[in-house]
Amino acid sequence: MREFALIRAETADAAIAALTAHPNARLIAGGTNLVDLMKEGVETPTHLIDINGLGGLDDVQARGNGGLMIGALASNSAVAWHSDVQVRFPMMSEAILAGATTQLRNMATMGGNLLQKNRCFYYANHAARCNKRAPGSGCDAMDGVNRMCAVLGTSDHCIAAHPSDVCVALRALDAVVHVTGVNGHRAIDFADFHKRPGDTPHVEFELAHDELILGIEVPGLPFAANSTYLKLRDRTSYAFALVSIAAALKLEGDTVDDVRLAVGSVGTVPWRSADAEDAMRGAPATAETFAKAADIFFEGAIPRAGNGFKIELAKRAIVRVMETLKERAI
Amino acid sequence: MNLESKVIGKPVSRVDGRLKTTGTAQYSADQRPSEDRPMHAVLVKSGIPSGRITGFDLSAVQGMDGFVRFLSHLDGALIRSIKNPADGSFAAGEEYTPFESDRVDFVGQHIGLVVARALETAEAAAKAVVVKYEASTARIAFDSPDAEVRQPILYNTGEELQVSRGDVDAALAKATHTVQATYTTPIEHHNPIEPSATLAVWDGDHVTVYDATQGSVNDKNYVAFGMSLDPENVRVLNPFIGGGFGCKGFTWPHSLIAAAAARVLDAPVLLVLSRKDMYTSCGHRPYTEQEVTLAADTDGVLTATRHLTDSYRSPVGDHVEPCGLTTAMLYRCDNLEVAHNVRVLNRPSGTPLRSPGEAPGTFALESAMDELAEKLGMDPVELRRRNHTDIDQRNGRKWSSKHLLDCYDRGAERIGWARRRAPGTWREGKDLVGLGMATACYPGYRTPTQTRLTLDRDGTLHVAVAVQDIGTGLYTVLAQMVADRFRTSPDTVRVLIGDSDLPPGPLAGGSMTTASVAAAVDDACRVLSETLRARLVKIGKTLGNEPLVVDGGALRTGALSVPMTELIPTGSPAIAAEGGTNDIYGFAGGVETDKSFYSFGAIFAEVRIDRDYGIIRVPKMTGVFDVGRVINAKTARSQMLGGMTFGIGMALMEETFIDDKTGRFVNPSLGEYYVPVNADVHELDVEMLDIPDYDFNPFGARGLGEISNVGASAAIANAVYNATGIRVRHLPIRLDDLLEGLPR
Amino acid sequence: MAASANQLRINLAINDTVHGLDIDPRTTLLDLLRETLDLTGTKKGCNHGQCGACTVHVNGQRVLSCLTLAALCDGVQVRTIEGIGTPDDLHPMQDAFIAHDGFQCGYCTSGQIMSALAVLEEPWGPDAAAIKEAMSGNICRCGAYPNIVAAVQEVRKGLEVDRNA
Repeated sequence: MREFALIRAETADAAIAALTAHPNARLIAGGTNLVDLMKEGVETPTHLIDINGLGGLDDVQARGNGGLMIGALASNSAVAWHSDVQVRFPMMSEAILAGATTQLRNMATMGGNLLQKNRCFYYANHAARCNKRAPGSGCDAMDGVNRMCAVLGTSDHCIAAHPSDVCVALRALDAVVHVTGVNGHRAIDFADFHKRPGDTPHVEFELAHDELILGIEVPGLPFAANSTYLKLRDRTSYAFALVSIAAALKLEGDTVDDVRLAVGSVGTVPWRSADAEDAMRGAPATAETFAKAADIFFEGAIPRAGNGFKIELAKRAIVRVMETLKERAI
Repeated sequence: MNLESKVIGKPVSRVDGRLKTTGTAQYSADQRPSEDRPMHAVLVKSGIPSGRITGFDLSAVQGMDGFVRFLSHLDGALIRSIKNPADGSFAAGEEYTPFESDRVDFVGQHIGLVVARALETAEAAAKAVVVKYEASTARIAFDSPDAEVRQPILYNTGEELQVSRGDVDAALAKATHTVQATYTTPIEHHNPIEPSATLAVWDGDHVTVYDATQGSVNDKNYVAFGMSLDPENVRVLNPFIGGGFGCKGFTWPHSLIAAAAARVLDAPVLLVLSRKDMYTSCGHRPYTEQEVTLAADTDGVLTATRHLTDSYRSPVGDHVEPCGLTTAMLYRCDNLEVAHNVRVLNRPSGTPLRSPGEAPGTFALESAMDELAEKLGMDPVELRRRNHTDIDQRNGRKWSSKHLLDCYDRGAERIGWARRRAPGTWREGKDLVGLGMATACYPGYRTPTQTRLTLDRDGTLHVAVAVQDIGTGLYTVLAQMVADRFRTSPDTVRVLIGDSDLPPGPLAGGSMTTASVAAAVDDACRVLSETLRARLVKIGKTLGNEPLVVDGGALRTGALSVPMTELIPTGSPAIAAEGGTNDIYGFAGGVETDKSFYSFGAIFAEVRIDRDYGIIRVPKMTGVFDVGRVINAKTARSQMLGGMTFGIGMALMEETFIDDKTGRFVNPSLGEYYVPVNADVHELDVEMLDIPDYDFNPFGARGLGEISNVGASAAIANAVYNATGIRVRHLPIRLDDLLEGLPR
Repeated sequence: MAASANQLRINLAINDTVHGLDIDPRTTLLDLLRETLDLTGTKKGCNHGQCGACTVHVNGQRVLSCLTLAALCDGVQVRTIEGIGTPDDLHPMQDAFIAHDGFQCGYCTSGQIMSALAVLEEPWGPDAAAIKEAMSGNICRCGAYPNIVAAVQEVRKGLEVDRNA
């Protein structure tokens, strides 16, 4: 690990000031991803700014509108087991519990989860070419072991899949990320927070160097009480997803009244398709409707040699999750 | 006698359990032998697959606070040139002398060492060393057209790798039912949770090496050779080893590097391999391609068998994955050909990994048997019964003790084999269900072993032998064996192992330790008994022929009871005896006998496969094993659970990828190379026939560490076929292998 | 031993003993325990949060000490395997691991036991499937999983009995 200096920030302003003063500084909270990458030499900050001392950012507040405000420093575990999360947004609780392990979830914060790096086999390997780690070096995943990589939102420069579980749920729930920085507070739609690789795969977040995440707002969505998260993987636990589904369904009789659907580990960012959801709204809640939506969801997908199976797998998973939610809704 | 024993076969809890559950068992990296804190060493490894080193740039390292030294081939001859086998005293994983030359043969080869006072500095410095190379042509891809291909004659056990009997071609020409297919198995890594670690401490010309090794005696001789020392000046200590599975079996260069660094720096040096180091520093199971051809008559009797294995070795490691050896001995077949080709590639070295050859070999053979059964319309168990034989097909000898047919029967009953249905037709809810089976077998090995026994004044028996408990339960098994012979409790036996200064014993590999020490312990107990009887006579006691009993503070025989304090007067030394055997079984050049020694078993697997997703679960596996007398029912069962769990990993998830362009392993971490976690493992049902094999040793035990991994992947693969009708001929079998063809 | 010029002072309680230490900011809690304090019961298996061997409790919750910077542990309470029981005075969970043979080589065992103890305090359900999932962050390459589950269940049931008493 490269040497660094530790700065303990007691307030957001102090953290912002430290970030501003040190262009190669990083914030650290749980550190599960950052410390790992520092050991690999992928992250080489000159300064670590410890934000664990920032007060008031580690809780989950129920909002009157049925929504939640989740502090950036709330641990993954605390959120997953929180009764308001479990009752109002089961998909979110299930997504968190499907990710990593208890030890990691106890350490990892919600803000950190939003900023976690991809797990492409070539990213943390210095000997490999990776445009995310070393812009312009190339991408060994394109023709390499790309079974875990993305089929949606890829570019000629990067096909790494976004690895988070809870971000898939947050994408489905239209969460809003509240950040603060030198220029004050701003609220970022979840859809805009994670950036597709395009020509600049190393630019991953809608977050300036001087900004830090304060919290994640999950707007009220009554029918999200009927939601779930499905994760399909090579190992029963402690494995990243091959495909994951976060979905919520509301029926009006036999018809889809409203729906949310996001799919994880198929896109370079947590993926959602307005067209697929529109195709379900107002349509009969049948396997045919769900299958058609699944097809729409994956229009334009670009498979590589090793990951084409994800498309069919995800389509089947979408249909089955929707059928499950339909049964629960009735 | 054994069968009435109060201790043999009983589920005795591990005598080292209190140390292991409290964190007080000291593994190599935990040792703190001297007041001087050890310096921390970190390896620098080659980044190219072939070429030579032209220089090192240390400019970023030299200013680091606490940096001590960088060592490489530029430091002169630190290590004596290793030839394998050098003088026959040790078996090395590689014929490679670290820091001997500028030559590089694969990515990850050890080319330098950073030593620093603090671990943090050593790690940072190792990353900051810049190595300059001159690359040369590398052959990495398995199908590299100009790679040298060898046909090795012998495996490391002395067994022949190229076997031919009868006329396979003629038999195939006449055959009515044949199957021929190519099966592949991936690169796999041992991944013990303890990374290899070496702490070297010099005292003048004597070095003590705390090494995570499966063989302290082998390691001692290796270090002695490499350091140009008399073996008496090397002591290897390995009281606890955090798993090995083969990667700590033969010796590896890092042990010499640590010893050399400690000598140069005149300070204790601790070298702990990183998880990534473990992927290139101590072997792996190489990728194999196996073409199997089987022919049978309409009754299912095999008329021809051909098993051709294609694999590779590194330029400096001579491991061959001997996939066909099982095929040569198992089923009755007069026309047989077994061959092994080995390509020389610029890849890290292979080495035995739990059941080398047998595990990947039976995946191919036992999958092919399943395919043949299908073609014949015959139950797979029945096909195996029809080809069962009481004769070792390699040499015409009878098996010492073989009850494989009972294993089939018991296994079929325990798994509910009668429930099995036609492929792809058994549905329960969203699941496709299937059953599969395979035969398991593993050679019985024994090597020369000496043992020292001591009885002290408080009635404690001490047993000492230079063997090691890598998790097998050997501490406990030794205590039970000695306790059995002196009709006492294992609690009264103190076990001293994990020290090369003790009477020599085998390395923990090849499932041979228990059988080897059984013979030595039995002999040492005989010698001690004679000594004790002589002592009793000498002090005026009259003895009958009744056995000796160590009973707390007294030695009893018949009606006679003599206090230990009388037997061993104050100031007298404890009574010691040495015994052992130089007999070798199972290896070339061993004891001449008219019997062959093997363990047998049958593995059955039930799988449930999600019919939409193809995700495979193994709700139940049954293993029934004929492994001779079980010494400890608890630890033996645990080993079987472990082997079957290895089988689940091998069948469903384990695979190391290599980049054919660069020669690098792509996923060298436990986050990217999946091994089973708790949630992957469901009911593992184990039965031991527990039939003693006294032809093999006086306790009647054969080995059992490896056999439960043999056949396990084939049983699962065959169950997958039964559930889905999809035949997957490669490992691991993952959902994307099934997705398209699932009978939804 | 810290080598950096850039030293940092932390105070933390380990198994109820308070330590004031000057550390290299790069030092992980795992290396601090093992290399500075000689508390070698906590093991390094992967050093990257992928095996669970280094599991300890920080402020009552199980975490991975290999990914925890010691610099962030100022003022925390750490409990390691050395603070659970001794060979002569085993904790019931350690007893249960021995009785059920919940280990072979023993290297992952400290982490398994630290997790097992935490599981009893976490809101998992009582069935074996929940225990397996809860214990899946601790890899045992020897394959003692069924025995580990049996050990945890025995202690859990004992606690239930106690609570009902």
